[in-house]
Amino acid sequence: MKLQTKIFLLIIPIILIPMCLLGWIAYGHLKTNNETKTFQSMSILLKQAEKEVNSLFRISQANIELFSNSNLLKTYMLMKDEDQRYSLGQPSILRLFASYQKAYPEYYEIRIIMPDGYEDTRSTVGLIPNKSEQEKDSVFFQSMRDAQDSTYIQFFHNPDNNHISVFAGKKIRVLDNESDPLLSIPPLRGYLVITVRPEALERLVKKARLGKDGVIFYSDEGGRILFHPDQSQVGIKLPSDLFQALTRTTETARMIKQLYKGRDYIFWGMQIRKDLYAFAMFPEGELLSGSRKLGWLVIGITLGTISLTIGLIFFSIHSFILSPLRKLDSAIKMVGTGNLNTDLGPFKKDEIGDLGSEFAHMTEKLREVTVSRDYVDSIIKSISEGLVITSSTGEIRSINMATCNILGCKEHELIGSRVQKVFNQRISKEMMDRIFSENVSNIEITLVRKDGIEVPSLFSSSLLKRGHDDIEGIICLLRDISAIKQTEKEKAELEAKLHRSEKMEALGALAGGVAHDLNNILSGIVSYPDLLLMQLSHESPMRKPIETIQRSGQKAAAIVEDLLALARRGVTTTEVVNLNGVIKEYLGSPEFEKLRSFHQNIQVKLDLKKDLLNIIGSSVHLSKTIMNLVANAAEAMQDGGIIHIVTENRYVDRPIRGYDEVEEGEYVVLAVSDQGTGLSKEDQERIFEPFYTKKKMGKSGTGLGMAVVWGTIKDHKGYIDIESTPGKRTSFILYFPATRKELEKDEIQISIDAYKSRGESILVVDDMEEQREIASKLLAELGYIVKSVPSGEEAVKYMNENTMDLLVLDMIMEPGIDGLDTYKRILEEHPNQKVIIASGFSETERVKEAQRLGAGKYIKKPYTLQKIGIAVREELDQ
Amino acid sequence: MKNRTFIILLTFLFMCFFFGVFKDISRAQDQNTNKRETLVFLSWADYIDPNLIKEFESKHNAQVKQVYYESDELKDEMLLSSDGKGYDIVLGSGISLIPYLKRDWIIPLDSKSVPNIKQIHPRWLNAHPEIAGYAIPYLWGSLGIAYRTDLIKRDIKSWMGLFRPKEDLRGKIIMIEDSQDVIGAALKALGYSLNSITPQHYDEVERLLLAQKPYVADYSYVALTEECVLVTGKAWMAMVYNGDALLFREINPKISFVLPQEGTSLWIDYLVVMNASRHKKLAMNFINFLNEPENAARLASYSMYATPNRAAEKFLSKDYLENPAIYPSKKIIEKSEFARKLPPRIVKRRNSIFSQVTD
Repeated sequence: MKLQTKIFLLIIPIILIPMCLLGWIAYGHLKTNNETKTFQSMSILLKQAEKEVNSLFRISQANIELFSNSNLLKTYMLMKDEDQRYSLGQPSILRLFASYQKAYPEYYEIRIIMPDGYEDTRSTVGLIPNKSEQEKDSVFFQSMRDAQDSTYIQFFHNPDNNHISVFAGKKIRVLDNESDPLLSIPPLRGYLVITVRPEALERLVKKARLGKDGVIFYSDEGGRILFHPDQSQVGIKLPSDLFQALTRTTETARMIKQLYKGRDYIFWGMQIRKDLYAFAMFPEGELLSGSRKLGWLVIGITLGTISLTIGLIFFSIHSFILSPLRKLDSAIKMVGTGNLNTDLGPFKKDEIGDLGSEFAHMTEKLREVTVSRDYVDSIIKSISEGLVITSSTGEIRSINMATCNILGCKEHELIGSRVQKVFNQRISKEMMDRIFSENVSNIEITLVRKDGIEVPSLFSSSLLKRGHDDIEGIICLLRDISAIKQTEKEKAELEAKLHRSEKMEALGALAGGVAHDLNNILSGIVSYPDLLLMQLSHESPMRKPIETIQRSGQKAAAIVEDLLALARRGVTTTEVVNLNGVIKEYLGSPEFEKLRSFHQNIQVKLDLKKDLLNIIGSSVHLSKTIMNLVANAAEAMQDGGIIHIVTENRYVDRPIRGYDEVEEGEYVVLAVSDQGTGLSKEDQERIFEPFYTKKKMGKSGTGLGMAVVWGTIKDHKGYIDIESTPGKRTSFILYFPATRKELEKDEIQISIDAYKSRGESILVVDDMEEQREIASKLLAELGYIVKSVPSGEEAVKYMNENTMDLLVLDMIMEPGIDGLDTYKRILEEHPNQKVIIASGFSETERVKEAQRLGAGKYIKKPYTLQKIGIAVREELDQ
Repeated sequence: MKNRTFIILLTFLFMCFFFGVFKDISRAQDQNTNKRETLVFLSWADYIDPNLIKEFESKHNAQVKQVYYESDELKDEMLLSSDGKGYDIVLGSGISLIPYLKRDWIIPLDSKSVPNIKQIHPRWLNAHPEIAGYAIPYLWGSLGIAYRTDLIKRDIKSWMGLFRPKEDLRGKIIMIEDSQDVIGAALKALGYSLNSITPQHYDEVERLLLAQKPYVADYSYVALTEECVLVTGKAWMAMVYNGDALLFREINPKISFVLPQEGTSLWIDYLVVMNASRHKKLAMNFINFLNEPENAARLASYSMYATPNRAAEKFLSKDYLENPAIYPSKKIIEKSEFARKLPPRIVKRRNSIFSQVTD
């Protein structure tokens, strides 16, 4: 017998017997309770019936007493003459009665009856026809007349409307002061009668609830029913035996069971007044049916409770005992078959739960000390490097996902194939033999994916041996090193670029240093001829040689500018320039004409973008860049050919890796292509180095041409790329950051009168004596009163003692304070001091700071008479 | 000795008593001569020109205090509750005054006490023979139908227009709260005498009035104000006295008045001096003052009723005297009646019907 059956047989009688007993006791108790409640209801209703009657009589009596005390009524009753009574008094009396009836609508008839029974006055609520004006024969009148009390109240049948009503009558006795003797008994003048509709009683019998068919009703002393919820019962007489049994005086006899109209009833009677009885009747069957209903209810509840209890007990046993036992049983069976991955889930904290937990702990321990195939598989799969396990003959038995990824194959494509086939293409036969005979580590090989892409990999293998000698297979490890290789390559490229850049910078610095000194020296050669020429007549024989000196000086200045450009210290890149304009200007220049004269079989083909964007830069330097590129291209085509100049707008949305790495952005691109022999890799690397040329030095230029190109591009924050096909062509592609600014208007030649002195004084501050002299002479020539000092400190000192209209301030002065500091100190004494700045170097941050403090224009040395004249004049005129 | 002392003492006490009483009496007389006498006059509201009252008051150094009632029957109730005491002069319709004589509430009046009695047409003095010699005619008038011509688009000529109204008049009629007038007019509507003594006629009257009841908004006296329901249009038709109707028309010209073709109830209001009055002489003077021809004419024109004072007519305009609403045409007069004294049981029946109807 199963445990479940045993428990069932034990529990059923334990629950069933006490529950049935409890049900039986409850039934008995409820049945008695139900009967008691019914009798209580009957008793309460009868008492209420009595209360209502008493209340009705009491109120009627009080009101008739009140109404009969009316003075108007008394006056009326004293009017013996009918004529007077009806003409004078009755309308008022009727109005009085109507006012009573408004307050008490249930007083549906108020009458005055004369002592002889004649109905004198009648006021009704609603239309109630009057059967007779003569009352002397009516039972009510006779009873009232014969009653000893002055007030008489009783239930009567009203013949006018066939209703049982309360008739309240009052004898009106009034003394007539004029005719009656004093202190005599007031004679009877008539009766005041109120007929009351007993609404409260009617409502009570109609609304009283006594089970389903139980009722209460009233009867008179003869057993005639006066009020009954069923109107057809009114007027019917109760059987005399029943009536007598119910109206016996002893209390116990008043409740009886009797057959009435074919049905057993429980009757309860009560005498309310001498001539009025109230009864409650309740069908006995209903009482029994109530008990039966209770019985069924108790049986239902008992059975329900038994079922629920048994269900709950079985549910508890099942979930707390049987279910965990079954779970444990199936786990034991699984472990028996060798499956240690049995997840028993959580157990409850009880004895069986402890057993289950112990068992789970036991299987966990077993799992830890036993290595399963799945465990090995999961290790192989989780290795991030490619793993290939083969048989001793090289047949692939197992691979992991990393191997599939490296080789670009699916697992099933590789399993079963020979490892030689997979690696053979890239591993030599000797190596393959080595693999099958010894352990190999970290050999670089290049594998070929299924889609043909080469994957550089690191290969290692070890022999899988059973025992000492028996080779069971090979375990191969593959590592994809393509990312490492790529990184190495990029690193090498970067290093090369850095090296190149550093070299160029160093060369630039060297050139710049030389250029700075040369620049100062050249100032004399460029500026003095101007002064000399102004003093010489046009016919002077000295004029030509001086002009030659001037031109040579200017040429030398050009070379210096090249050097400065190389040093990237002499470029003003604030000008808005359009490359197309620069190209066209250059092609129309004497320099280009000169170039063409050297290379007559050269043609220039232009392909300039119409709406080319502007760039920020220096048109002079850009022009030189173009000149150098064109010259370079011409040099590359000794046998003639076409130089192709192209401009275009280009937006670079991802960096271009060429000679330079071009960043993202909006660019104006200039490409100058030749049809020469092309450039080798080495040439491309060195082409921008100063004085690097494959041509004969000094033949074609300064040797700085391409270096200037490189410097200019860097100054313009641009990039260079070279595309070259050896034996065919070379293109230099330059990227300049584009701007949306518009071109400035061309400078206009201004007459000398416009910038002549108007008597102002100027202090020239410069550490170079030549510069001081040049400036002083030029300004004196223009009519200014000029004073010069050799340092900033001197200038400050002079200005502390004197006042000057304007200062021409050199920016870089050594030793001592520079132009900015000088300016700051002078400002302390002369806050509005006007200043212009003159310097050989390009506009530096210190120049800009001086301008922010209030300094005027910056002019670059060497300057012409016009340039310094205009700058001075403009500043003074502000 | 003892007896003499006793007599002297008694005489002293008697003299004290006598002088005390005498003093009281003389003080009372003094007070009477100095104090303004007050006449309490029970009447309809707005039925007498207040200027006349003022003139009388100044002429006789007296005060006239008016107490108003709403219908003859309510006046009877007021008098019954005080047994005819508390009022000096009472104004009421001739028929209502007959029981007063029986109750000894009123005193005789003759040309000695009211010299201007001679100005009054004997026809009106004797209109109610029961009270001739006790009551002086005040004004006379008739009963008719007032209705809104803008709301009722048909001519009303008969009492049946009021008693058997068309459906549009449901809840729009006002009836006077007076059994004499309502039942009398109903009898007229049915073609019977105002003073019928045939019980069957009253059965018909009862049926007629009960059938009319749903159309009646109220049984009350329509006040002479601008807020009255007939003026505002809440009520479309009303049973009114002719003088009141003329005053309504002055407030709202859309109110028309008709004396029905079946004839109507004529009434005459009288002035009586109450037996319980302490100022009978002054009361008589007041009645005499009101019957000065010019004063009588002012009384009439104030409330738009006809005067029984012959001499007053010369103070009234021709238009006034020829206004058929005030002085009904001969044809109407011929068909009309004054209320007469009826047998008590008939009165009882009339009271009963009216009580049922107004319940």
